[in-house]
Amino acid sequence: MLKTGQTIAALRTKANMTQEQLAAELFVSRDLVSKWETDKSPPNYKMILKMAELFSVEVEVLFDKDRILTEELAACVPADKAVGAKELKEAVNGFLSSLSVRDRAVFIRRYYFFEDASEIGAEYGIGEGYVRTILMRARKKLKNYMKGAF
Amino acid sequence: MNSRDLLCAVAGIDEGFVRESEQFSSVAAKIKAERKRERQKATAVALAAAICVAMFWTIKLAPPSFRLFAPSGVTNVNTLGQNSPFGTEKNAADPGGNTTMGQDTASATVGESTSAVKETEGAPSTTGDRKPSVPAGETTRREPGTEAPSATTAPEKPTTPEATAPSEPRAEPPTEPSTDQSEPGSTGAVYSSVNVSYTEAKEIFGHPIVSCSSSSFIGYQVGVVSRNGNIHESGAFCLSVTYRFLNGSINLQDQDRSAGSVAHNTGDRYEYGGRTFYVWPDYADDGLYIGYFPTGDDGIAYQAFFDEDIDVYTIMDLISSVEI
Repeated sequence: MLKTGQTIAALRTKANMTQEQLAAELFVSRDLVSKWETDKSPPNYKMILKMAELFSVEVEVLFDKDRILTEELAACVPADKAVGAKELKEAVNGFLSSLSVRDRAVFIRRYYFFEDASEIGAEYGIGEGYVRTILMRARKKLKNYMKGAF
Repeated sequence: MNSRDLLCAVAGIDEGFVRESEQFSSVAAKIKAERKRERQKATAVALAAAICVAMFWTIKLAPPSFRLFAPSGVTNVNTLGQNSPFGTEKNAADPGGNTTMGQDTASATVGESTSAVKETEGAPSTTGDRKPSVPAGETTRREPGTEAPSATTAPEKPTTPEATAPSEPRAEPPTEPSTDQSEPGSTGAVYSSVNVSYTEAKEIFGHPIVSCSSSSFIGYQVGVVSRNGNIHESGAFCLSVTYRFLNGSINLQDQDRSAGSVAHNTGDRYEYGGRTFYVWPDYADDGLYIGYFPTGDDGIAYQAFFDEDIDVYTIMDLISSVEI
């Protein structure tokens, strides 16, 4: 679980915004903003990017794993390709459908919930090293999938 | 498009996938438990089969006197085979095989029946593969010292232990101990895995192997190729040495002596500690292979197999620690 709640609250206060105002800016409910700030649920990556833009800070300020995760996925992105968000989302969904249930669950734990290999391993009862192997293999498949899709 | 766009796309994946990943931990636990049950069941079946086979061979290879004067023991084998869960499954799959076994072992015409069993069962025997099949009436013409007593010796009157004594040597199994037949260069060669000490392992393997001091280390095992399973016979040679651990093993194979290369350059490639390792999973056994082939298809190949939950880097460290 990300510990970004206090950072979000601090940046919001610094920007003289209420939770309602922030929620309105991001088109989410106030309850959700409250959950983020109390670390009851993490904001997704889209929201992190929006907040970073709104508060004019680097993404790393809100999300310390940003560099690691973007570097991990960098090789999967086809170079010099302009792809719309909708097409990309469809491609990712298609790619996930092609994975086994276990590999898909591990991938989502890493890139949706931003969990470490050790956390995923503990959750699913498999070794940390094996989680890394699964992720590496999944990224290779994603790269090939993206090549074929775009 | 960049990797942030990709992460955003992942953030917008179907809710079904997200829910599935949240529920997967319980599914994974179920799968694990089921696999464990299956393994236990398979072990029980294998054990039952081993007991049946052991009893069968014990009776088959026993002196004729034993079989003539202890028919109840013979009958027990048949009963066990039919009543045990293994026997039932085997009957369903191959009704003829088990019935033959029961009939033959219970039969008083020992010589003929045992030869019939051999053909039906396909029992392990080094001579069985090399010899052409023998006509039914000629079962007494067997290679000396490799088979059970013939039909002509069976009717002898073994009334005293002294009378049975001469037939004892013939009761020894040919070469059926726990060895696998392989052909690493010579026809009919037998590959035997033998537990040895560090000093013995070093001497037999012929390479200056490193002693292991890991806390999970169990012992050394050498793989020796010979003509009949005897690792001390002239011409026998050592093909590999295995470091056995609680959760796996590391095998050092002398590729110059083996029939072919064991190097496996596919799978996930890891550059670690100045070495290149290859990792590939074995889904059937929930395990992981880690290979290190410093001299390619020649020289010593290092191949480890461990439980999948052991950290890959720990295994690579272990392999590095035993590198010659």
